[in-house]
Amino acid sequence: MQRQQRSTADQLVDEAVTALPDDAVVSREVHENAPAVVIRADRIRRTLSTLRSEVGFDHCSCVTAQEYEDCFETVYHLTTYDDRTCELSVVVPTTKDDPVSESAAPVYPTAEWHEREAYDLVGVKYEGHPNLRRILLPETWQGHPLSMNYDRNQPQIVSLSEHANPIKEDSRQGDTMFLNIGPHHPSTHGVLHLEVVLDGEQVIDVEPDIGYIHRCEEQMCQQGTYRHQIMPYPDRWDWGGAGLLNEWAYARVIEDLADIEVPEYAQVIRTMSAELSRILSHLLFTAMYALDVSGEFNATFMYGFRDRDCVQDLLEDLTGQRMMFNYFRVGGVAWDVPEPRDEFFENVRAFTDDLPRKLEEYHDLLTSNEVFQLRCVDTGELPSEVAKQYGVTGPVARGSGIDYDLRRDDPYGYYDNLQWDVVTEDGCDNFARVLVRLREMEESAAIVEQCVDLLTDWPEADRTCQANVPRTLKPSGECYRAVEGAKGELGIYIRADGTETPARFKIRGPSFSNLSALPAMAEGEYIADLVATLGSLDTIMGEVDR
Amino acid sequence: MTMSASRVWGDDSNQEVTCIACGETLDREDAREYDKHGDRWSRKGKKFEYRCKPCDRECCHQNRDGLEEALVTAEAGRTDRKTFLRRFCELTAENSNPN
Repeated sequence: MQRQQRSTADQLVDEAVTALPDDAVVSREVHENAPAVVIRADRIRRTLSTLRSEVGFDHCSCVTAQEYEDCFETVYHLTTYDDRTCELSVVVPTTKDDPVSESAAPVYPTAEWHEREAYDLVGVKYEGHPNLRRILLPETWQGHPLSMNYDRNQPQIVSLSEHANPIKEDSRQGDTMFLNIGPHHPSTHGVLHLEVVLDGEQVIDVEPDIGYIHRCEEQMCQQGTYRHQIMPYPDRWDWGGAGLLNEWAYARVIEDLADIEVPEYAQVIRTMSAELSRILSHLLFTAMYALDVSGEFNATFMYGFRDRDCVQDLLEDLTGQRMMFNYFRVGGVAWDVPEPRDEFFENVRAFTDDLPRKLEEYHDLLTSNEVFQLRCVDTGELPSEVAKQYGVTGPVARGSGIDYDLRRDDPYGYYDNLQWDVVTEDGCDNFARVLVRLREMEESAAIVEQCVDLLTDWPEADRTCQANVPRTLKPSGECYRAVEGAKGELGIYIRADGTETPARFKIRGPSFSNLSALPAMAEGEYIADLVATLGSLDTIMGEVDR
Repeated sequence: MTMSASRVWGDDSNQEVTCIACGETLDREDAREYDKHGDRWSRKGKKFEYRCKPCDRECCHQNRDGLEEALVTAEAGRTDRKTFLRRFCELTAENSNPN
């Protein structure tokens, strides 16, 4: 199966390289996940444009910048929404003394934010970028923290001028008003700052200002050893309950790099626990979104938290934790399901047995409520074409009719052996995104039930929770792998240089790309709908700022 | 007067139900809900039945989409048992290998 996929991928790359301008390709490489072509820095736009329009790479999943001893490098991880297993890495080296390459933003609008981050943290400049400035760190920051010559001891002066009233000196009489939403505002779900320009009640410009909880997650992972020290971090990228899904992202990439095969029994436990984690995250969305839309929906908020507690009890029994689970291990899971097993399985079954009735209540309270419908139907419109341009994934993409889910399209774990469906809605509005998440809980519950049946009957002699993994892992190679997180495609790129720690650890948080589409969704709409639209993205700032 | 947590939900707990498989009467809380159409997620206008946990464990929980059509095509109840089983197995094999 994998060999067949590989040969299809090779064909695709041959097709891609043939379509490219002769003078653009410098050489070819092989990354663990995908073939790679090395492209001249001044031929990027033509190259990507050809790859997008002629070969069909319509999804720029991630952009990674890094510095080597002798050069800087930007890697564009391309794939397609129709076939996630078709992947191509476009590698763009630039000189050490003047790291400038063409910007990909005119071809893939999602690259605009990714390149800003690459400039901010690594220091690569992108020619032709519409707005190349820092994105995570304050404008006044000196140096680029992930570059080799960065002085960590130099003092920094942070004026946070973005908090100043930008029209204080403006004495003109006009009809527009500048409004700061956040960084401390309940509807921003953490620390997000939106710079909004209003014309009456209409939003004519909105600019997300992010980075308030940037915690150097990539750097911290680069300092951790593969075997045990990195796994706790992914939990911290999402405090909404999706931690286990995030742990799987790291597990998947390191297991591919180090060529570790996870026992089937552990795969089933992973699949079951990950889907409980997804339900936990979607319930948080439902609870919080009800409040975002109207304070009248306080009851729904209470219901949501009550049901979350049921899931948290189950996950606490399994992992020992209610939020920062740290349950996955490289090569499997930390331990087996708790004893007595039957009691644990009965508890899980009791939850899934009760869920249909509870979800009906959410539909009664929210989706069939006229006030809720007024606020959500036909607001925050995101057509599928626009969503693809911004690299939108997860329930947000599926609410725009994009049939894309890594659990099915780039299978991992035990999903391939279970019966479930990818949920899509064609509404492209806030309402569609709510429906997708509510229906996805049904599918997750179906997956959990099937896993419980499998685990119950699993022969005692074959209950292996972890593969035999060496105490010290020193893999080599480059790999970008992603899983279907609660918010969408959560990808991790690792460049392993044969040491115990990654040379580069890049995180592709789905909320980062999803949030970059906010201006396209909210501009032209009413200010009140902006809050409903932002909430419908279900962003978690932990994986946006990292 | 305090209401128990489950009563707040306005649900059907604290009721007694009968297992449709073994006929035993038990508390709703100890039973599993059963839908003869195999879709408990669509609930409007439906009345659900119940099974006790041991009976529920013995039954198949797989999706039953297309089962009714397969039974009719295999002439369930209209032909002898052996012919029906052979036809049903053929249909199942066809459905699992669409190519």
